Amino acid sequence: MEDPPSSSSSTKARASNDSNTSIGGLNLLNDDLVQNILARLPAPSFASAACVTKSWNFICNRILFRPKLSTALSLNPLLHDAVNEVVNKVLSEPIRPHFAIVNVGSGFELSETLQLIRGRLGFNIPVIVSVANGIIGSDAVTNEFKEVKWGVLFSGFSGDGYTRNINEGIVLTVGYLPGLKVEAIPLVRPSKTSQARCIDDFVMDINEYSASVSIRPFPVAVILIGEASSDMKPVMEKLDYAMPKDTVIVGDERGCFIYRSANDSRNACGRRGNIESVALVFAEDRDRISGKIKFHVALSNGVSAVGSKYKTASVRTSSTDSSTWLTARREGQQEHLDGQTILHDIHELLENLVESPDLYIGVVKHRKFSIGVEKPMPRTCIAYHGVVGGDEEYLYVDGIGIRTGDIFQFYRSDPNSASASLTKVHDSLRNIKLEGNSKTIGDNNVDVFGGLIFACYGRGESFFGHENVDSSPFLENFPGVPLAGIFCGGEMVRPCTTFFGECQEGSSISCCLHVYSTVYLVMSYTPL
Amino acid sequence: MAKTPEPKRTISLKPCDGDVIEVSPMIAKQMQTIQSFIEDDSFIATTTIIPLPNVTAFQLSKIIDYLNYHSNSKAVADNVKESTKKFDEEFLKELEHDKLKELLHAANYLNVKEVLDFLCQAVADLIQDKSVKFVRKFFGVVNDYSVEEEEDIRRTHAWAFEGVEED
Repeated sequence: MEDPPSSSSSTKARASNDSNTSIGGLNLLNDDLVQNILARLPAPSFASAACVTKSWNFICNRILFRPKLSTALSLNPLLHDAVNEVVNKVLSEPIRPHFAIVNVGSGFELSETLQLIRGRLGFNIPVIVSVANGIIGSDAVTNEFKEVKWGVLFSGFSGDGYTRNINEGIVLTVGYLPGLKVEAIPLVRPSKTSQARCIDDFVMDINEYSASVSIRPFPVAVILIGEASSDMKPVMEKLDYAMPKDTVIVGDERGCFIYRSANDSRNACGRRGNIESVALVFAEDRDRISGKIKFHVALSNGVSAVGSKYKTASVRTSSTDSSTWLTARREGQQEHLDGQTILHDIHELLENLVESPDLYIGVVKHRKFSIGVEKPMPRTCIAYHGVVGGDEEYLYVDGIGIRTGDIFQFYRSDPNSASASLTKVHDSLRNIKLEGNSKTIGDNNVDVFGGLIFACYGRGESFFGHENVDSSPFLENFPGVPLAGIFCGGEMVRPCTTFFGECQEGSSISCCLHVYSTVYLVMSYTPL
Repeated sequence: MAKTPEPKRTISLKPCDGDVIEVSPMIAKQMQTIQSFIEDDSFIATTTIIPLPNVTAFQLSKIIDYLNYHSNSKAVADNVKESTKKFDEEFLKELEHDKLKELLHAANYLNVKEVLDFLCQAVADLIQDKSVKFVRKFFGVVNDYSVEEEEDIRRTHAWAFEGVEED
């Protein structure tokens, strides 16, 4: 077992080393020299060094007593070579893989990727492989930081026949988090079962796992990957309701994934196994006393409100293509408006814009939530629905869950407001650093050791006119700290206690699924 | 420039075998262990010999060779990098495993960071991808795990034992 370093075990280790000296004959290397040597080994050799003697194992634990994230990106078009490049890079320094997140272009076959990764990282850690619209990270060979966005928007909406570009590339994130336990937990929905019940089971599965390893029946963080065709709004809303405010939840709504949990004997694929989503769950390990690993989140908003508020007057949902047809009244007025009229007003307001933005409606939903047999509790959240179009009857938006009487407002994608919010994210990330430095002295500083980014596919270079804009708040604050990410079709984050940056519409309203935004997950460590 | 009799510009180091070796202050400065002898500038002028009872003449000259070469080739140009790499390779080629370990001790005793890091990397490269048994033999350490304990620790790190060269 891995012991945290302490002075008493240090003396013991040295004593046993001395006794070896006489037997070995050669003047033995002291612990500091051995540490200097072992710290230079790539991860697999480092692992076998721990098996050499007990004192070496102790030295290895001392080298790796802090958590670590290691990431690498490759655009090599050959899957085997790309996997080798990123794995070799990630394992080039001491690390013990606890979990792996793999994001690939649609040109890479998921199960083959999973197989290759597991062959190198071991068979008993949770691994999630997911298709993204673009990848963000540091090149395994050149170390150049890249934000890569691929051609056609990958969309699972139209079922099996959807078109996708062949995109080759991979970004691998491997984490070593002593003090936490990590597991992949699926949201399973057998056909003809109501989603609501399955979500309840999912939430309970996550809490049960946490309770089994931790003193708290809740995880500290959840990274959620949704299967492309499933609606993650109810899942996020339920999780937001069920989890305590200090649980961090982030993710990608439209993933297309395959995963392998640590305790399972078979691969599970989102598209084939009635699995709507998979959660990578991080729970405190009750058996470990070490420093504190903290997850912080920040959000860069990318939309701004347009026009006045409306109240839905009639709502029809089409469950076949998961969309909603609605009519509305301007708030405080009686006139019943059709889609065309509403859109006409909005387009008039947007006339001066050079490029026509993407339009959404942000719907404020007052709903009641419960898990299982609990008494339902009222809650308010805001949900964004993409505007599909409007005619003389209806306004068409994607997604379901809107009710008659809900208040909504139009939002448009807006690079200016995105840039402004990036500056705020930049400042709030800097505060993580400052906050840690002011509270503690010397070695006890808060140490940011890694980050993950979930950026909306609509952003990136084409949105801002420069490259690596979305990564810049992290890269500028934490140069050299591993960072990986994806461009995705639905970035998710729930408001929580470690949330930095603005929260829309005040704090009483919860919003978990964002549009045109970038979500930052920042991991920090504070020694005891 | 020189008006007064020129002060001695080298430092005398006496290894445990062989003759005194003179080194420039620039080289001597990198040996942390002897700093206390030379911190005082006036001391440099004296002819005191610094004894190094734990370092052989061979080891001392190797360390000085390395420092000399590297202090003269700090440039970042590609051709310099290339020749530095070649020097480093030649440097290591002349060292058998035992000599390498002894040199590591000498560098550690003198506390020369640059040489120490270089040699630690060289040893790390040597044991990379080698079996646990090889590493024990290389370092002359004796396995103090019981059979059960070793099985246990190997199981913990099972993922790493793919593709390891056997002895």
